[in-house]
Amino acid sequence: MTPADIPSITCEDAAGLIGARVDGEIAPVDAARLEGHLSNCGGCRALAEAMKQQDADLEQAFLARGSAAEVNAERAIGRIARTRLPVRRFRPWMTVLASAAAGFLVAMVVFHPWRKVAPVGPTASTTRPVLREPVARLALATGLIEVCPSEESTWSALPTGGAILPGTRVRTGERVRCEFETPDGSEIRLNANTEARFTSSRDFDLTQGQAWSMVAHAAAPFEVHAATATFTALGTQFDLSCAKNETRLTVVEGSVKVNTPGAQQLIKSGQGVNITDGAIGQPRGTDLLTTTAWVNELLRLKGHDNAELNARVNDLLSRLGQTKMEELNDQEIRALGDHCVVPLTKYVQSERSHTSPYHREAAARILADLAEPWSIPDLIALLGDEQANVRFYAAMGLRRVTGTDLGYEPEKWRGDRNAESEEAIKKWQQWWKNSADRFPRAPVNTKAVPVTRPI
Amino acid sequence: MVDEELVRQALAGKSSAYDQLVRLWARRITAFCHARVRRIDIADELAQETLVRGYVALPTLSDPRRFGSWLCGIALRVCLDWLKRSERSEVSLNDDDPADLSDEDSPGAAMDTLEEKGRLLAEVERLPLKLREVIMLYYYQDTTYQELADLLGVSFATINARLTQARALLRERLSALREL
Repeated sequence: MTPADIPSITCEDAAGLIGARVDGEIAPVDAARLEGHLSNCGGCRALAEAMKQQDADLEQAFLARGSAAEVNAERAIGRIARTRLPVRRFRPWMTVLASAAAGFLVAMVVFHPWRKVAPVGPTASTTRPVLREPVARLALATGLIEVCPSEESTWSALPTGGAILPGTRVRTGERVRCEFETPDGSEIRLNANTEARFTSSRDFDLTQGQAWSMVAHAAAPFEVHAATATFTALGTQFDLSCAKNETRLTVVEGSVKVNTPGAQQLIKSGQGVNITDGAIGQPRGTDLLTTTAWVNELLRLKGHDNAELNARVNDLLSRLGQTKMEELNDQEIRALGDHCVVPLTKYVQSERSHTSPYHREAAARILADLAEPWSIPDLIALLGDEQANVRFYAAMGLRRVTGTDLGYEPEKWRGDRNAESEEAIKKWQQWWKNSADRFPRAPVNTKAVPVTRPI
Repeated sequence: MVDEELVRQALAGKSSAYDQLVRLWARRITAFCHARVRRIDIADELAQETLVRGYVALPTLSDPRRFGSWLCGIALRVCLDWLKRSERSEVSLNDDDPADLSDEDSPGAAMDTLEEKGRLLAEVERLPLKLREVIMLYYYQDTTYQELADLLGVSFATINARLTQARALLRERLSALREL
């Protein structure tokens, strides 16, 4: 086909074809028609240039969104893995129980114990072992957890995944914390130097120490008995700290009913109350993050991008600049180590963070110190941030993690964005394209908790 | 591996097959949700919910070749539920209403503190649904016109036309902002 054979097109047609060409979707015949038109139309040539630039701008603008979607995919996979768990969650227990039953039957076959007591074989009803259902299993522990079965006095070590039968006593030692999961999905965490006795999956005695309960909603009430009172909930989160004559209740979410021999009171979310010698004190607003800070160590064991941990980081972050304890809150976030990287990154990327430049900068500052190699794409994306100090801290983080600044010193990112900085961003993007394989991928959370609120 | 084969493997009990589908579709589903709710943070949450619900409902998928469209259908219901809950009735499935072209927000609203990239994203979110949908799907994940056409049930030419219209509108609005 010669140029003379190619039908001409209008400027309106050209706009669509320019877009198709930018996107690599133009047919050869249309490309020829477009070329013919552009050679004679200055307006459309300018439009072609503008669309090329616009395409690059849009790609850049959505770069971080694409990465965020990938992180989100891993979170979804974690959630899906959790939905599969109920089928096999208690399989280790079942294995234990099945093994016990099998062992019992083998022993019966081998030793024929009934012959010692009766000349004829026993009926099934007299020989069937009574299998009691476990009420909880040990999900996490930072050290040795000991258990003492009902009506026994010998304590022994409980392995992770180990089952708790009704009536079992559990104790934690010095600086040891643990978490139990119950069949209904509730979680019970014990602080160091704590002793408790599990009666059922929704009932335990707190003899001493501190316990956090995250109660799954169910028709049956969830009860904790301490020396001075009984605490009842249907679905909530609360922390109990128990001494000899005094118990301290802190309600993190929902409400908890306190019953003593002489009184009853409902304590609501955000409130704390002391129960001393059976007398319920005045409920007061309480610092939830400080009271429950001890659970952070357990949350770290749950992997990265844990929703509960993320919410804690966000709460701590929101406190920066608002209280005299700024340094403490900053340290509290840093104490979470690389586990705070995902929530901090999400915060800086979030739309809502733009309303608080102070907190964005604080988050970026901590990120610069704690970012991991798998944060590199996010840090590169932040080099294009509208906030100068966020760009600076992203560059600091990149230099710390990669050992290079690609010739563009972090301090320069504090200056206005210009052609040189845009060029530096492109260099980083190219560098990452060539180097990504050398760095570890973001850890996949193995124990993700469904997100209950936006990060 | 194509969606169809991964769906068959997932239905046969191979859990990693659905994980792979999640990774393949996360960007597009997030884009789809972002286009509908116009909130980045919420879009992530709804996309995650969609991918989880998709896993649970997978046995009900009658034609594994239509996995993407089917998942978008779930995403649509998840988004509509959220919009209903939050009483954000200004966004609907077929809001080609010209009123949507003249949003209540003035072009300069909340723009002063954001620079180019933020402005661009904000302007994309202000586009009419069908235009922002195709722009987001296209830029969240490198994809072809034909794949987009199949997903949205429209023609190749329609994808080209919508992208062209969206880009023109964006240039116009951003240019108006720069002149303010």
